[in-house]
Amino acid sequence: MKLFGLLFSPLVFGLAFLAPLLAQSITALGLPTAGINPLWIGFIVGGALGLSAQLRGSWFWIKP
Amino acid sequence: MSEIQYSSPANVDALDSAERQIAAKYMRMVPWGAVAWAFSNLAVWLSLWPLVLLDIMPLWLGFIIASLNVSLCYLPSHEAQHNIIARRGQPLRWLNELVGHISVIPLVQPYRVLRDTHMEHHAHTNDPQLDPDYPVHAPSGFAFLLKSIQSRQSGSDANQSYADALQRRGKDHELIDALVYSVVHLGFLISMAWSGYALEAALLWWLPRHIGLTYIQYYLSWAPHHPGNGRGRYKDTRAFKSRLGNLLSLGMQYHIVHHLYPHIPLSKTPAAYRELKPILQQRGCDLGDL
Repeated sequence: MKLFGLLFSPLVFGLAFLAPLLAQSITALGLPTAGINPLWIGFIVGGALGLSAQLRGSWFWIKP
Repeated sequence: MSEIQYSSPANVDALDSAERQIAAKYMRMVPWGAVAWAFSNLAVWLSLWPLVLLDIMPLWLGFIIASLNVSLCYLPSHEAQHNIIARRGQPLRWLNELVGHISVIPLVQPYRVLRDTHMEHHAHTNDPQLDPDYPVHAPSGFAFLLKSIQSRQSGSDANQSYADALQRRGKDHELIDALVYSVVHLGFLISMAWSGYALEAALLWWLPRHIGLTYIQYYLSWAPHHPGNGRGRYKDTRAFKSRLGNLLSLGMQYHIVHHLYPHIPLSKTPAAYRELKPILQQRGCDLGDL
């Protein structure tokens, strides 16, 4: 059960799905990255959002 | 029909009988439209993937169509949940079950879980302890929207009412279905994302699913049962006039007919409602402006 808890955790979602999503969004929109690989930006932003959601129990300002 | 005074016990029987006779006219028919809807809706949603991935269709258009597909996918399964296409033992039973299972694939909801929790909803509508849909109740449409978003956060226990409902029915093993669906869905999203198709996965499934879930919850669970404090056959569901019309409100203006006679197909609820309306008025049902 702990394994499933980890699998469906916001942190895993942030790193495994949001990171490539953000990276591909940056590339598709042609946003400037100051030479940084968009995937690293995806990892940093997606990971931070996921960690925040993990700790707060919510992705948004709306808390359950 | 002539007015029957509801206060007299003899007339209550007459009213019951008249109600049942009207309802019977709309039951026992295969809703072929819902069957076609189930297969065509799924086929359109599945076709979006090659069309978008091969750059035949723009992603923005795929996103709009996918959102419609997900929002429309629940109702054929709902017909199947009530065995409207075919009851157990009938020749078309396989079709009933097939429609039930396949139509809700875009929604990532297992048919067995939906069916068994939905039966609990019908049995205990608006009961704070026993109605698995009770957590969607909110004082306003906007409050519902916030609640719906809250319910999908990691810290929420909104799905607990569904797990509890399955446990009460001795069907908690069906939670494995939900787990498998969720693992496959997440695995698909992650696989697509790391194959270079994150935007496609997000806009053809992930986001449309969230939009569809909210839309379905609003029209199937919140609106017809609002304010959610009435209990009993003629009090727990209302008729209402939707600003979006009957089609865009998923036919739920007439949901009161469905709760009274769950075997009436969705497409027949407007006609049944119009015929039942004088009786429902005498019953004191909340019929809004419909």
